[in-house]
Amino acid sequence: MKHFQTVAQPGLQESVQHGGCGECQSSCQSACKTSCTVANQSCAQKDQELIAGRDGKINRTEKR
Amino acid sequence: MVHVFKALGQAVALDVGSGGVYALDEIAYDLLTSYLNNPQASDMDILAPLLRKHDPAKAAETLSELREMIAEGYLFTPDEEPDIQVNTQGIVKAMCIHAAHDCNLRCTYCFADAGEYHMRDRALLAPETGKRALDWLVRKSGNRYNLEVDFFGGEPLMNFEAIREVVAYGRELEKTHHKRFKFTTTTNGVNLNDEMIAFLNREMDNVVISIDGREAVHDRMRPTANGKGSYALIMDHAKKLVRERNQQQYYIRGTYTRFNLDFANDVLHLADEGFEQLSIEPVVTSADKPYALRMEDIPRIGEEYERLGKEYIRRRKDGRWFNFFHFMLDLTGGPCLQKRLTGCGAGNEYVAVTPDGDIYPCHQFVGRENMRMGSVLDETFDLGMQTHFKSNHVLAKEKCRSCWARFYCSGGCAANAHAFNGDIGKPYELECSLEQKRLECAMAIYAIEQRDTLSADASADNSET
Repeated sequence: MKHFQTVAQPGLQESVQHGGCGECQSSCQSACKTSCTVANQSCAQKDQELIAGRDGKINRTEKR
Repeated sequence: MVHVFKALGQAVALDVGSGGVYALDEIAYDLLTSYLNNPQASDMDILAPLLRKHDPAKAAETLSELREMIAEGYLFTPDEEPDIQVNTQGIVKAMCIHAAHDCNLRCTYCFADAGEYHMRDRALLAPETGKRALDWLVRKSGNRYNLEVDFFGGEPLMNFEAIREVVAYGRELEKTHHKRFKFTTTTNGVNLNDEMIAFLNREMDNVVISIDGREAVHDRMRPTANGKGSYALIMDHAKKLVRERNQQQYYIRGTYTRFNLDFANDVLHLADEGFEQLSIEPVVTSADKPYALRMEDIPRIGEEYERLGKEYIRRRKDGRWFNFFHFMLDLTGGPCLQKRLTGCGAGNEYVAVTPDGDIYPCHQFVGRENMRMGSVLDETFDLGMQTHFKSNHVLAKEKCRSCWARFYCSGGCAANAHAFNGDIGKPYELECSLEQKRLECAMAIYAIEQRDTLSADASADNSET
């Protein structure tokens, strides 16, 4: 594709298969006390080093 | 549903149902815009608006790519409603413990009424009540392993000894019940001393310190009880705490109001002061307040997010990396659809507990009439209200069902919806507009940084060969 570059693969529906464990962080527990934001919460089942930067400086480093 | 937009000069398409995100060049942006106007139109009609601006062969090539994207399930995937059962077991796994209904600051915009939560009594949590709250959470958490507890206020460090006792008790419960408590403290930083810093850095998975940004902006809204500014009291403590936890797992969290619509300068000020984890949120308050944000401010605020976004990218690229919470977007390892439906979990998986042991759906509901859910002391808990909150997922909200951002904001803040519209199912419009703008900026930033990284990698490969 020359004109459409994939930034994120479609996969939301597939997440239903592995999701729902409920171990991820509640958004209000991080830094979001007045404006609910959920999509930046990482999946607790995945490598969390992907989230906030590519240079290793991240806010959640725990791996499971 | 496909949402096509431009932010920070980057054109982006989001396929809402599948979560696919695509960076577009100018011709693809124009083509998708034309296509969205009438998807049933003929190729000739779809291409017609492009021909004044683009080469016809390239326009046809782009249309061919679009048809391929659609055929292969990348764009315009069906808006199927997921068949998901959301936490049907009544599990609670996160708790906000109000360690103190008292505060040493008198922040003008405080939703908690200087810590008293409109209860007309200052109160401190008794350690025994805090322990009962943890017992209750363990019992309600079913098979969940990670339990989150945030010490909140008022100013929780006004009751530091109780926090210390409750945390120690939690560590004992971890051993006997195979649980892991992830503690957070949200503090204004005024009382922080070396002993507290050492404790917080040892025991807290996350520390949130409230600073609004530039000294004058902060001091205007966050005075001490005797009317003086608090910025100078906090900064050194905050820097020490952050330094000693190696810049990990904390947030400097602030609030912007109508008084500082140039809030990008506040974010950048905090970055200049050496903080790397930042969250500045819009004030939520009644419209009659002079500092309340208004719908008419939205274009100006949108421009400010764009300005911040451009500087954010520039700094992260040139070695002055920082993270802005509301530009964080995990497009590859993000939350599952179940999480995206349920949002913050207030009143369902997440509750707040007052110094009296009373349970509310979340910290913002504390003190609101008819919103008390029970007590950790007498074991009462309103399962009907929990079910009401549980059922209030994003697809149950009429306004959200047709919104492109529904799987990213997850229906917004129930407390704001309740405060402004009297119904947890009717989102607060101003919040929706700002969330949409932040999401657009976040997706554009993600696309731009990804492109820059790939381009840098390609340059490195070329120089090696």
